[in-house]
Parts: sequence; structure tokens; C-alpha cells
Amino acid sequence: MKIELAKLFAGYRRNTVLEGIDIEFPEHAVITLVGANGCGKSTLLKTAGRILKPVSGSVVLDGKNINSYKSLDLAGKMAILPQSRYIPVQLSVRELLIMGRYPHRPSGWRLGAHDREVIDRIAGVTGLTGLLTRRADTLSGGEMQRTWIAMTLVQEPELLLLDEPTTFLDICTQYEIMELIRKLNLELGIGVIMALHDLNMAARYSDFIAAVKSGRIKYFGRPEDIIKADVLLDVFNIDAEICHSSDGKPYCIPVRSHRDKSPEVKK
Amino acid sequence: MSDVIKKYVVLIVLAAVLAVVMMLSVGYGVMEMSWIDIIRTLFSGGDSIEFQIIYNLRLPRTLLGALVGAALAVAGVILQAVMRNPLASPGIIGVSSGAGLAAVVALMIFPALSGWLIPVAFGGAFITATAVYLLAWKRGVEPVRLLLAGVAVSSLLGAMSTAIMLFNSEKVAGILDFAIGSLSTRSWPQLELVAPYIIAGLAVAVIIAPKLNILGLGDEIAVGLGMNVERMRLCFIALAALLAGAAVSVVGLLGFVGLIAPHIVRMIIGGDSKILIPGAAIFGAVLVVGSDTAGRVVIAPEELPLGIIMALLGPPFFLWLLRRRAGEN
Repeated sequence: MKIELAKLFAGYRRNTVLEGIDIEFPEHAVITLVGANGCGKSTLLKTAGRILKPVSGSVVLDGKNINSYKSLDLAGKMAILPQSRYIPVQLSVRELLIMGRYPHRPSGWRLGAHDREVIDRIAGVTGLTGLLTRRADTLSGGEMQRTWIAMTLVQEPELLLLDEPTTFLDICTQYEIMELIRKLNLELGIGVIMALHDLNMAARYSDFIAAVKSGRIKYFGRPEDIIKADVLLDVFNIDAEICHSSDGKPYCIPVRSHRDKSPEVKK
Repeated sequence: MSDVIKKYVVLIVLAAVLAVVMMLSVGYGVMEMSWIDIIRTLFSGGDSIEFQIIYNLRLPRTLLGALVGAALAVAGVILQAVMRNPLASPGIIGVSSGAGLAAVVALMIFPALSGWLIPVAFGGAFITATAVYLLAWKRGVEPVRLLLAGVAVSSLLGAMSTAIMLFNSEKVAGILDFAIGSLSTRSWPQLELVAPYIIAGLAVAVIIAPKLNILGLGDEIAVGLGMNVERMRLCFIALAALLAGAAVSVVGLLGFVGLIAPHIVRMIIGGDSKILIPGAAIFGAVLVVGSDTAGRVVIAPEELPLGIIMALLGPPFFLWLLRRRAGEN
């Protein structure tokens, strides 16, 4: 599914966050949005995922404006994992995955053979098979995160929008989630657009990186075009040294903040 | 899979308990009769005093109690999910305070209206719920805003009720029954008035229960799954207002059931609304019919209002359950 944002302005009440986004995202790719807090990554994902209505401009999916789709039809093509969600008490992992089938069976009552097959397959892919009867509020952070991702996957989307899928997870679980996303992209051809804070993780797992600054996509390109000292200085206000790992991927070592207004420490 | 079956077994057991409690409610009261006499009386019909008591007093009262309990408990389940707040109850959207004020006005200021108590209270409940919803509306209704608007409107209307009662203190006894919650003197006419709304409301609630699950995950997740969140939320709030409004208009301001029954049933069979809604309906019916029966028996020939029994026995039972659960985890 091809997604295009045209002259997009969006925000909350009087506070405009996106200040004119114009981009055509490549299809079937893993695309990562990076940028400082408040730069507009989440707002971009929410607007693209029709959770937030744009102030002006448009979101275009496969050549058609997002408003011309029925929300329910859209949910079978595009899945979004927003940051704000409630950890459901007293619901099992299986019940949550059944809820993820909502776009395909909105009455919510009868579970068809195909629904069961999809739920079992996705549970296998995300390593949840043994946890299906566990109550969601007894899961660890990583298990809960895999459950949320599995919930988006049982929608059978062509495009996945993920807002900070690794927040609050330990380092191993973070990479486990990234490997899962990479696998979904390579094996199922699902396009992924996600927001991440970790630049090295973005460099390792993305086909393209979009660097967002002040509500605009300031840089867009392959990881080696974005993980550069001058780009990072402009986007994040940091001095960073750029290296390459043995497999040729770029990575950066931030060495100091360049933000002028850092308060002086008094003795 | 066996997990699901276990939950349905619990439902069936609850239904059996309800059947027993309803039989006790018909069988026990100030006038003592054997079961055989009761059945014989019901089938013989006629004008005997026994028939009058069983058929025109106990039977409709039992059925009404079951419907009212089910309605309040299901309204509670719906509102707790919609507000994503375990403290939400039917009172939170203003139905209790609205029905209460309407009843006070009808009984004290316009006594001519007192024959119309149920429709007046129902109207008060529904108008107040609508007002709360509209007051909370600003480009959509946020659950927290709705909750706060409900609390504010409820305390305003509650103060107005109290003020009216204060200036009409000689008539307060007449309103006490309504303020506490009671089924005494209710019979077929009252049942016929509210039964259609409650039965229709319960049926709709069971059918659309799966959507309540999704609404409970948060607006953003629900939109992502393709739900029209604002419309669905309005549907559920209207449904809860209908159920709770119909219930309080006939039984009075019965608290507790709508707040606690959902929690108790959730502890036993989990949070899936598909099972929780029928479970809470049955359990709410058990609570109300059981409390009403107890109220008729404990100090016979006097009668304790249902609301008192429930308020005395309910909280200790709930606290015991809460602590037992905490011990398990």
C-alpha cells in the first residue's frame, strides 16, 4: 500500500505540530521517523493513520484520499499501534487477538476458520503461542508489546504504523522486536513506518530514515545519508562521531549536546 | 478453549442460583405457604387472598426485581468500560440524581403528578443524562470530561433535591422509600411500564457486547481498528441511560448493584464483555431479588427496604471477595 502525504498541516487545538509535510513514502519498505521530542513524529503517524484529522492537506493511500475510504475497510489494509493505549485488565492474550480481527468481523461474535488460522499463525510468528490463555495484565513488558504488535498483525495489514514500539523494553527485547519487524517486512512484504528514538537501531533496521524537525521532514534517505555528523547536528543538536560496524552499517556515538540553553551549573 | 467452557459453566451456575432465589422470593414472605399450596394457588386462579398475594404481589415483584437488578448491573458494566474507570456507575451519568430530583418535585411540589411517578422519574433520568453528555461535548466526548460533568451535575441536582425536601419536611416520609430503593407495593402495572425498555436494552447490550471490549482499549486503538468511536460511545451511553433510567424510575435510587456487581462478576469470569454482560445481568438480578426477599423475611411482619439490605450486606461481601483475591495473587 502506497502512502503519500501532501501539504499536510496537523496539530492539537491552537498548536500546529506538522507544518507542511510533503512526501511519498516508498512501498514495502521499513521507514523510520527520527527526531527530537515534540518534533511531530507521533502526530505524523496519527494523521497518516486517520486517528487525527489534518488541519489542511491530505493523506493519500494508493492514489485515493484517506477520507474516501471507510474506516473499517482501511483497518484491514493499514494497522496502527499508537502510544496511548490501556493495558486491559482481565482479558487474555487470545481475547485481544480476537479483537484485532474486528475489521474483518465487526459483529464480533462468530470466529470463522480463517480468523482462527490467522490468529494461530500470528501467535506463532510473534512467539505468543504459549501465552494465549494468559491474562494481559500478568505479561512482562516485552510480552505485552509483542501482543500489541500481534493485534495489529491479525488485521492482515499491508502497511503497519508503529509509534515507538520499543519504549520501556530492555535492550535484548528491543532488538527482538526489531528483528520481528524486519522479518514481517521481508517475509510478508508488509510496509512499516515507525517512530524510534534510538538512531543506531534506526540505522540497522531501516531501508529509509526520515529526520523530522519542527514539523517538517528535513532529511529523507538511506541510513548512510542520514547518520552523518552535519545532519545529526542540525536535527538533534548533538555532536556525534560516525563509525561503521563490521557489516558496513553506519552508527553514531553522540559525544555532546549542542543546545545553547543548557543551564549553567553553579558552584 | 476449556477456559471459555469454564466461563459458560459459571454462567449456567449463576442462572441456576437466580432461579432458586426467584423461587424463594415467590415462596417466602409475611404470609407462609407451602410450595404445593403456592403452585396449586397459581394454577387455580380466582379471588382467594392467597392467589392475590402470590400472583399480584410476590410474582410481579420478583420479576421486577430481577429486571431492575439486571438493568443496573449491565449499565454499570457498560459505563465502566466506556469511561475506562472502575468507579463509574449508573449514577455517574446523572440518571440517579435526575430521577431523584424529578421524583422529589413530583411528590412534593406537584402531588397531582405522583401517580405518574415512574414516567416522570424516567424523564428526569434521561434528560439529565442527555444534559451531562452535551455539557461534556467539545469536539467529541472525552471520558474524563464526561465523568467530571456527571459528578458536577449530580451534586447540583442532589442539592436541589435536598433543598426541596428541607422546605417540605412534613412530606419527607413519602419520598424516603424512593430515596433508599424499594420494591414494596410494586406490581404488574409498574412491571409492564418498564419491562419493554429493560428487556430491549438488555438484548441490545448482549448483541453489541464485543464492541464494548474494543472501546475499552482506548480511543486511538479503537479508531485504528476501524471503529467510529464517537458514535459507538454515544450508543453505549444512551443504552446505559435507558437501562438505568428505567430501573431507578421504578425501584428508586438503588446504588451498589451498578457499581459492585460488574466487579464481582469480572473477578469470577474475566473482562470479556461477551460473557461479562450476561453474567452481570444474572448476578445483578440475584442481588436485588435476594436482598428484597431477605428484607421481607428478617423482621416480618415488618419489611426492610431492599436498598437497606443491599447496603448492609453487599459491601462486607464485596470487601471479603476483594481481600481473598488479593491473597491469591
